[in-house]
Amino acid sequence: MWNYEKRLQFPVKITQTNPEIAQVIISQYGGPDGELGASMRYLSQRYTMPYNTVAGVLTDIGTEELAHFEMIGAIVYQLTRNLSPEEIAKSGFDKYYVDHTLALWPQAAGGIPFNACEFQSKGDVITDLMEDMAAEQKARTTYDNILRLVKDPEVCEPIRFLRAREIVHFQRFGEALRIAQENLDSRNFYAFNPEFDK
Amino acid sequence: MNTGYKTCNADSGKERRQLLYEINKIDFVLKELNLYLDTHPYDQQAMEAFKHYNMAKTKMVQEYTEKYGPLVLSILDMDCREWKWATQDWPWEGGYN
Repeated sequence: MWNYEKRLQFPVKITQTNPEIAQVIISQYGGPDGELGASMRYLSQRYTMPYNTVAGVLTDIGTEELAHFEMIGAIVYQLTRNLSPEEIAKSGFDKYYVDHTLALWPQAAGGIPFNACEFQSKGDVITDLMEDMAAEQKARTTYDNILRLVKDPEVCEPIRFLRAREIVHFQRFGEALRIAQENLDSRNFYAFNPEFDK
Repeated sequence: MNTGYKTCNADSGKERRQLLYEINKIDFVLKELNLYLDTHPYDQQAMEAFKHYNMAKTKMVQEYTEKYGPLVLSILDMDCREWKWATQDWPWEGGYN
């Protein structure tokens, strides 16, 4: 189960709205390499994970991703708070606004809805951990792409924090993979799948 | 008249933000130690550090709750006639920072 802490993992206090940049950042809310997909990926993979320490990594990183999902939500919310109809029309935010007004909805920057097809839960230790490491790098690249477009330091700071977390998670998943491989046949990691072949 | 109840005003001042900043910092250390310990579960030094910072965080959250309002439902200031968990701003409003 989970408990809520009534604070963000890293402060988000944005004083200038910017619907153009909100439309880019929303990709980390519900896009292909976003925080929601990250959390669902790790929290789904853990049930069949045969090594307790690796299941711990999946649980705790999956939980932290929910805190990042909330931070991205706060960023998009504060970037679009109290927009006027004129600002909405002028910024191109109108296509999102017509379906969601100023509410948060998980989608990619291009408008594609959040979809579980954006992540895998394959039931094979090496396959899943390789996917997790790649996912952290893809999210890091997305944050790099966002940072090239964002000039407002109030937006950059929390985005830089999230980018750094992707790198830390990549390292931890690398260690999880090492632990998994230590438990496998070192001459042939693929000889059997410990999530299925008992 | 002293009603026996503390005033329940939410303070959005500099001191409150500073204390929350310290809580965020200490929780960041805890999160890092948590992830590290998942893959290094026999590191005594890291376990000691986790215990130390965890106690420090609890103390700071207690102080914050008494002065400004709740951050977690497991630590509440019951000496107040208001359910501040719901009446105070939520963190995405930006006032928390």
